[in-house]
Amino acid sequence: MSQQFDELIRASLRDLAGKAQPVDLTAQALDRAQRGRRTSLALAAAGGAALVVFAVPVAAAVSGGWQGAAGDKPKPACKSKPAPSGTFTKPVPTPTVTKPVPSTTFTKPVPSYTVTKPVPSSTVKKPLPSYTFTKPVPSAKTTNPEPPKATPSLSPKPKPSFSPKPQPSFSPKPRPSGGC
Amino acid sequence: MDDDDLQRFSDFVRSRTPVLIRVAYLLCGEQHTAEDLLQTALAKTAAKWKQLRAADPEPYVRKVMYREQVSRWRKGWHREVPVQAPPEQVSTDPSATSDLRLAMQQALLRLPPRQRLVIVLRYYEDLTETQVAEALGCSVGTVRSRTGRAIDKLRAAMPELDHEGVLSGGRP
Repeated sequence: MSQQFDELIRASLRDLAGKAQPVDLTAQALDRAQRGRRTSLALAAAGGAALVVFAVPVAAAVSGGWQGAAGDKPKPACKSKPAPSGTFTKPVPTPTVTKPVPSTTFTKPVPSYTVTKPVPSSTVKKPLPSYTFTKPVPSAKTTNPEPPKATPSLSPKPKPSFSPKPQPSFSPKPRPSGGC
Repeated sequence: MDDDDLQRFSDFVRSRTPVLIRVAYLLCGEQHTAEDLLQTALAKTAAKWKQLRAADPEPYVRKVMYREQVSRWRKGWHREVPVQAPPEQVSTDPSATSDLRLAMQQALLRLPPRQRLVIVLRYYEDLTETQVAEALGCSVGTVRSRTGRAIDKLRAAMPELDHEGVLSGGRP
């Protein structure tokens, strides 16, 4: 390009620039900067609040989802285990269980010497193991009022498994709040 | 911004506004748009004033103006308002240079903003192609191509230049 053309462009640009009118823009610029700063702060606060509002439920859902990822069912230990209370520290023995049922009803047979006809078995509600044994044979000579003695082997023994022994190993400790 | 910074900023604006408003006027081609552009650049400079305490703030203001002008063009500020007749007519003048200058001014104002921006930086601010590329955030090749297209448009808009002998040397 020729030097004259460059000079023409420069001169035209200088003429154009001379048309600009100088103004004082200090106050406007400062106001605008302050407004922009205020807007930025407001937007940042709104963004932070929105982040908290949306991120907390999502984080909670994600943390819950991780437990469910191992299996669809929740852990039974967390749900089915009741919270221990002070009443469980010492198991109360139940007397009905520990005491064996008195065997008199079993051992004592119905005085059959007065009964000429034996009681039908259907009337007996509970089939006792000694039923066949207690069934007396009707005989005319049996005038002995004493009931036949039951053999000790047939008398029901108390179940040893029902002996109320408090388990010393069971000492419930307060569960941690979130532990399962 | 404390009082000291405020005083420094006010002094800087008062002293450099006459120069900066000319550049803004050349970039925009209109007074009010130029004021708005410079005001935007000064507001952004005021927001960063504490970081610019040690450095000269004028290059920062200029760079903000250049980039803001490109950003406005991208946002659609470049849309021209169509008029039935151009506001200024080139009238014949005994002095040929005045005719040529007015015609060139009109041709410069009709350039697209990005091409005019490159012309202003190259011929008014006297920046090199590398400096223009750095200021605009583009490559040197882009600066060259925009400059070439702008010169072509200026030549096409002023066919009388050949008769005046201005373009006798031709393009390199």
